[in-house]
Amino acid sequence: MALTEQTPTGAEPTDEELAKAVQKGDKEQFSFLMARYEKKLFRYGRRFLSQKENVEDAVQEIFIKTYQAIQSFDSTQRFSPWIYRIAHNMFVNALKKNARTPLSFIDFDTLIAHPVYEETTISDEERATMRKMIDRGLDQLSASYREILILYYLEDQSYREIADILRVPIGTVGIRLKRARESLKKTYEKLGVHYEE
Amino acid sequence: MENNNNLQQNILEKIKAGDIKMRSKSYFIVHLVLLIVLAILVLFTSAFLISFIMFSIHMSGRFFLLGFGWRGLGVFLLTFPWSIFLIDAVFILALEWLLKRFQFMYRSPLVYTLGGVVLVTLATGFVINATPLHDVLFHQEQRGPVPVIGGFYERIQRPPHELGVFRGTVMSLSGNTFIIENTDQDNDADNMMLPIGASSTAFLTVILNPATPASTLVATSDTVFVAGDIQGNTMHAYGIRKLLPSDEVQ
Repeated sequence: MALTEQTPTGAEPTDEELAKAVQKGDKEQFSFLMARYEKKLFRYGRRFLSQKENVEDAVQEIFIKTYQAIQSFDSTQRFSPWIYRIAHNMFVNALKKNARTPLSFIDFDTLIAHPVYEETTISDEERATMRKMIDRGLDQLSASYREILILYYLEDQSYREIADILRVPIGTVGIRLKRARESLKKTYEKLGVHYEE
Repeated sequence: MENNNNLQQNILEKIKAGDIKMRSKSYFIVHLVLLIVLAILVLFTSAFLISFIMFSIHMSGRFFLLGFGWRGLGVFLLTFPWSIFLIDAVFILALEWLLKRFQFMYRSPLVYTLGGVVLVTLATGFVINATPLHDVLFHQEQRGPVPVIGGFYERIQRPPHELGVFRGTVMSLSGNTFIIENTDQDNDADNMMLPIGASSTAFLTVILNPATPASTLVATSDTVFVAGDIQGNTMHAYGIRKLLPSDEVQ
């Protein structure tokens, strides 16, 4: 069978449709899923991990785990948070392996509800500005702040999806993102670069 | 980009060659079922321990200490089964950890989910306590050792004598004093007499406040629960509770 990334109607199949086809035994369709997520996962890994960890190995391992576990994917849900969850676990393990001090991902913000920090729509301009800033200033941030900025601004995940990836309450996503932005702002101030929110 | 294509090709080749295998749906279903079964087991173990704490407090009569003022409260806290309570706390945390895998749990703040887990465990503990389970195990232990958990029920009904807390039957009254016979209170065949402290006798003279005639509080043959300062075979009581048939060991 020739590889195709099109449905009979000519439209591109969704991630979920591809995943369903893989679940049914069409192994070739997995290559399309890999093609769609490879760049994203490399970008996520490169920015989240430090230089020490091998991103390529981690991404390869993510795809292997994704294939092995694909039968546990519920195709009525979105595929993207599901694969990002696998990636999150892989990258956190890689960070833990190389961390000199024990890495703490315990977040006291998960203790109580934060109803104030609901998701707000951000403009394309603001997103573009944040992307540039993230490109320059992420190394100075803690891993949890780094990751949430990447997921929201670079990977375009919603609060709800980030909550599923990190397995934290949605309110926590909002407050952690707010604090990450503030921390990024402080980093820029230290570097003497003007920050515009 | 060539590297990237290599990565995809490598993985696809390994998949086709069967080096990387997809786990079956049944694997994940079994995994989920085992997780649920484990969570239920942890819940019931935790609830069992809570109900055991309630049962032991009731059986030893220590519950009545709460009505004996600050001193009673102090003795109650001193004799509370903290070790079982701590083990139970570990089970509750384990249950929280197991359930955090489910969306309905991780999407809620820890305070709410942990509160919910504690409430469900407590409610289940109350339900277990309302069943005759502990009574049955207790009486089985009286007849002979019960495997694994039998040790829990040994001497459970005995109040903390070393802290001046006794339960006994009123033998006689006089003025502001009365005498109780201190038995093991388990209603089995031996009705064993328990000596008071280092003495060889099982009779305890309880002295009340000088202004309180004993006959206003107790009568002969009543079973009473008393707490006070012990000197030899005499107690200066700070708390007395006449036990009703429902309070007593069945």
